[in-house]
Order: sequence, then structure tokens, then C-alpha cells
Amino acid sequence: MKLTIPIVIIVFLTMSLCPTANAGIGLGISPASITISDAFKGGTYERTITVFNTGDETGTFELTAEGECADWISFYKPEEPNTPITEVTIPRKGKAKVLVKFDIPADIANANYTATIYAQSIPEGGGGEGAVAHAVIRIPSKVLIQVTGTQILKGSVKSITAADTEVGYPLKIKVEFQNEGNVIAKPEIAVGITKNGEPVDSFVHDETGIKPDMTDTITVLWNTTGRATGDYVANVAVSLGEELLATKDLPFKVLPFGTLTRQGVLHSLAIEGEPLVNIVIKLVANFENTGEIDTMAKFRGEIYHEGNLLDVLESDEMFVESGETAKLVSYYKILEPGNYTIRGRVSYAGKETEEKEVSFSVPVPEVEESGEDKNRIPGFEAVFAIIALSFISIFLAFSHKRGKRGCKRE
Amino acid sequence: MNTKNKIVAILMAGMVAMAIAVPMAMGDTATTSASVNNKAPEVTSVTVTPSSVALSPCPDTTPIKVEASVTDANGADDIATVKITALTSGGSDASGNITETLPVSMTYNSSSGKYEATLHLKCTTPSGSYTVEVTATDTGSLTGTNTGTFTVGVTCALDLDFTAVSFGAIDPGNSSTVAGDNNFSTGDGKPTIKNIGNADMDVKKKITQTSGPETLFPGNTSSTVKGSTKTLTTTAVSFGVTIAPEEATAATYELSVPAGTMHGNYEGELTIEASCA
Repeated sequence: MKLTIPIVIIVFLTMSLCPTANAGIGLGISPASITISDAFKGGTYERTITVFNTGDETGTFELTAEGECADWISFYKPEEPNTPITEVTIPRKGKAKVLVKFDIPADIANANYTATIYAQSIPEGGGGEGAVAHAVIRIPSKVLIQVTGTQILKGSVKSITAADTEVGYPLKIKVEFQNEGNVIAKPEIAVGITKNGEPVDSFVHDETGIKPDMTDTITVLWNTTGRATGDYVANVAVSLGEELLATKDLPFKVLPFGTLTRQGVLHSLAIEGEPLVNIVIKLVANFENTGEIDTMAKFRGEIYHEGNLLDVLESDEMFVESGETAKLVSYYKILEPGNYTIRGRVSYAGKETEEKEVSFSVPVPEVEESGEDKNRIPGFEAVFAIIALSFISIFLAFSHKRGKRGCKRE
Repeated sequence: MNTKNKIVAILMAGMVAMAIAVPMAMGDTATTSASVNNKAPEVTSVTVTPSSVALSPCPDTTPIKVEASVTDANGADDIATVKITALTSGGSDASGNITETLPVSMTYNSSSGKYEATLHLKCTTPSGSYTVEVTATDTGSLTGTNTGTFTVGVTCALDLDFTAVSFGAIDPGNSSTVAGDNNFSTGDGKPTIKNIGNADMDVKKKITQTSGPETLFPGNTSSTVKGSTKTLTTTAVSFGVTIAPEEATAATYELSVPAGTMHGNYEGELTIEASCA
């Protein structure tokens, strides 16, 4: 019984010093199959896949494509659609969206082409005595591309909406358009504005292109500066090529300035990237415009080091639409180790949100190891520590026993 | 004036008086009345965001936002409740795939002018097309309904409760077995694989040598999953098994070291590939 505590300590230390012993790895992809129908020769098509890291640790995953049309496939971060990537890093229990582009060659035959996209874990490797096989997970997403020689210009309108606005703020007419063809579609949106049945203005928007198989919202703006307040109607007609797809009359009001509510919430502050000395961290403030009208928003904060004010942080000012959430980003380069806290709030429309804060620790930089040290036996320190603690535990147990004997003598 | 003439005069005077007085009296007491009919509310549109859902792997749920535009000819104040009343797939009830119990009340969002609610799809929700039904009820108990659709794709996902298979030190001519179990528990030394996607899964495996005095793993390693045993080589081999969503199953490995194998440490990569239906 007396040796139980030292044994438990030894087992605990042994397990905690072997990081892979308690780790698992997990990986997922959605969707598990992608079909591009009626692909046009020379066209470019895009799809988004989601890669899930269900493992216990942050992981980097390779992205590859295999099969007859693998050369047509490339991967991108959605926010950087022009920089190809071959791997993606995802925090534990997190996920990442990956933009997949399919560039169809112009000189291929009409046929069905297949490939498989893979996300694959990268094993840590190293360590272990005897024979060890490191586990790798590989998850596929099957691709079928049906290439045809016919250009198809086709689409449908899912919705047309507009909301009340204030003088000086543009009226936003939102047209949700689905491209059902195989080439980029630029629907023509003709708008006529009337007040009391009398025409006030008219214009056409035909500049926004929607990629094949994509659904997107086209926002058409009407400048209300200098317009009279009151009730208006927007007569909207959407056509593609020669075909009229939809028409709708949208009543709306132009209200006096200040009528609609301005409101916003700072949901969270978070840092991205590992906080290390001489590394620039990215601070992300998630701000939601919960008001009835668009607003400009800017994050302002203070960074404290060991409780002392160190510097101020500011993001760029961003336009945030009503009902939308924006990431207000600011950067800071860490120069010394220690405990940091960032506090701040978002300014918008002459108002401020409640304050939020985020704290993090920056470790002391590791000293470069000498060549002699690099050749040391891996895990020697851990074994030494276990042996030392074992001796201490046994010594303590022995001393305790001697102490009891001493009591008996008395 | 004789009696006859008197009577005629009185009658004439009475008729004149009535002709003047009666219509005036009727005008003073006239009332107008009308009733306004109650019209049923109309659910003009139902949208689900995202319309194409990528389910998070188990055990997580995946939120979807349902928005409905509702109008009522009697005015917005006549709309009493707006609720999600059904979730179907292929005409059958599919409400068992959400964590909420139907009906689910929707709340009015003044920013968007729509009613909205969030549903949470379970990680095992089968792929396919789904229909959400929204019902609006007015203060006079009249109702209007409409539907919106969304699709759920296949999420192919696999969890391992191990990062490496350690066969230890083996004498030439002997073998080492690392037995798996069905209990998904990291660090127990008993390899387990778990299907955490929403479709049945088979697995493929291959093994490659990354370091060591000579090639050992390919051809000398075997694995057993759900009773199917395969020799592992550098080419992925399918086990032909079906692992259901959320099912954890043992993955057992055996390495046979041929006589005459050089002594030393050997490392390899064991690739486990999911194959989703």
C-alpha cells in the first residue's frame, strides 16, 4: 500500500512524458463526391470542400489529386483564391474550407473524366525502439467531370429583396441568382424607381458575373442622396441573354437620417498564430452589425504586458452591412516573453460596443542546442527524471516508515 | 268649415308633418356597420442556409438556419406564431435527424424582416434532399404553410485512437501482434478505428518502409478488421467490410520477421484510407 503513491506518480509521469501515447488522429472531408456536369472546354469551375481535423492536436494535411484529370485540379484558401496550396493546417477539432479549381483544357474530347482528391495526415515520425509503423489517415473525395462541347447560358432568380433606407444611404436591391449553365452568367438587372406612380430614376446593372453552378447575391445600389423622404417602389426586371427571368415590384421607404437603429455587438476577440517572440500575431475582433442600417466599424484596443500598458492596437475601418458579421483584424509583433492581455472595443456610427479581452502567454525562446547536445540519447532526461523521482518517493516512504518505528519506541 | 272638411284638413296637415318629420327622424338614428374578413397568413418563402450542408463529423452537430417570409392581409400584428412543423426526406418523416423536437418556434428578426430558427443536424444524418415545412398561424387560428429544401452531402471521416503501431523488438523467425479492440480509447495500446461520418465505410490499407537496415514491413505485415485479414504491401488493399456511422471496430496488426532479417530499428508508414459509400 505504501508503494502505491510512488507507483502512481511514476506511471503518470511516464504517460505525460510520452505525448503520442494519449493522442488520436482523425480526418474527414465533405462532400465525399463532386460532380461537374456539362463542363465547357476551356472553362474553369470551382467547388469548396471542407476538411475536418477531428484529432487531438493541430495537424497539417496534404492535399493531392490522383486520376486521369488530376492535372486539372488545384487547391486554394478561399480568402486567397490566386495562391495555390498543397497542404492545410487545421487546429484540433477544427475545420478548414478549401477552394478547389478545375481548369478544363480547351482541346480535349467530350467525355466523362474522373479523379480523386485526397486529404492525408502527415505522420510525426521519429522515436521508438524496434519496429514501429506510424499511422496515416487518407480520406478521398471522388470527382466526376462531364465535358461537353456546348455552351449553356442558363440561370434562375431565387429572390429579389430590398429594405428601407435613410437619405444619404444607398438603397440596396439584392438579387439572388443561380447559374445553371456551364459558362459565367452576367444577368441584366433593370431597375425603375417610382414615387407616387411617377418615374424618378432608372438604371441597368449588368457587370456582375456568376460562375457556373454557383449561387450568389448581386447587390445593386441606388444613391438616395438628395432624394425626398417617403414611399417609393423599385420595379426590378432580371434577364439573361434574351430571356426575362423575373420581375418584381419592391415598395421601400427613404427615411430621414437617423431613423433606423444603429447597433452592434463585439462577439469575441481572438488571436491567430502561435504567440512567440519576434512573431507577428493576428488579432481578430468578430463584430456583428445588429442594427437596421449599414455602418463603418473599427476595432481599438490596448495591449498589456505583465499588467502594464504596452501599446495600442487599431484595425482598418470596415464597411459592415446590416445583419452581417465582420472580422476586424489588427496585428502586433511580440518582442518579449511573458503574459499579455489585449482589451478593446469596436467603434461604429458614433457608438462603442462593450469591451472584450483576450490573454495569452509567450514562452521564453529556446536557446539553440549545441552539436554535442543534439547527439544526446532521446528521452534521456525523462528517464533520468523518472528515476530521480522514484528514488525520492522510495526515500520518503522509507523515512515515513522509520518515523513510525521511532514513535513505537517512545 | 263643415266636419268633413275639418277631417280632410287634419289628415292633410298630418301627412305634411310626417313627410317633413319622419325622414329627418330616420336620418338622426341611422347606423353603418361592416366586418373585416380574417385572411389566412401567407408564408411566401422558406430558405435554408446553407442549402448544401457539409455535416461535421461525429459527435458534433451541424447548425442550419431556416428563414421564412410571412405576410398577412390583416397586418403583421395578426400573425400569432410561425413554426417549423415538419422535416421530411423522400416524403418520410426525418425529424429524428435533428436534436430539436418539432414544432420549433421561429422568432422575428427586424433586420432581415424574416422569421428565423436554427436546427441542429445530427452527425449521422443520411445524405440526400430534405424539406422543411413552416406554418404560420394568425390570431383567428387560420394557417398558411410553405416549404424550403436543402441537401446533405456525404461526410467521409475516420478517427484512430492511435498514432503508431509499435511491434517492439522481435527475434528473427518470430512475429509480434498488436491486438485491437472495439473500445475507442486513446492510449490503451489497442488500435481502434471509428467511422465518424454519415455513410457506411470500407477501409483500404497499405504500408511502406521509411527507415531500417532493409525492407521489412511490406509483405510481412497483416491486418484484420471485422474478421477480414489482409497482407499489407505498398499498394492499398480493400478489406471489403462495412463500418456503420459511429461504429468503432478493432484493427489488429501482425508483423512476421523472416529468419535472416538484419537487426536494427525499423520505421514505416501505415496508411489507412476510408472508402465511403
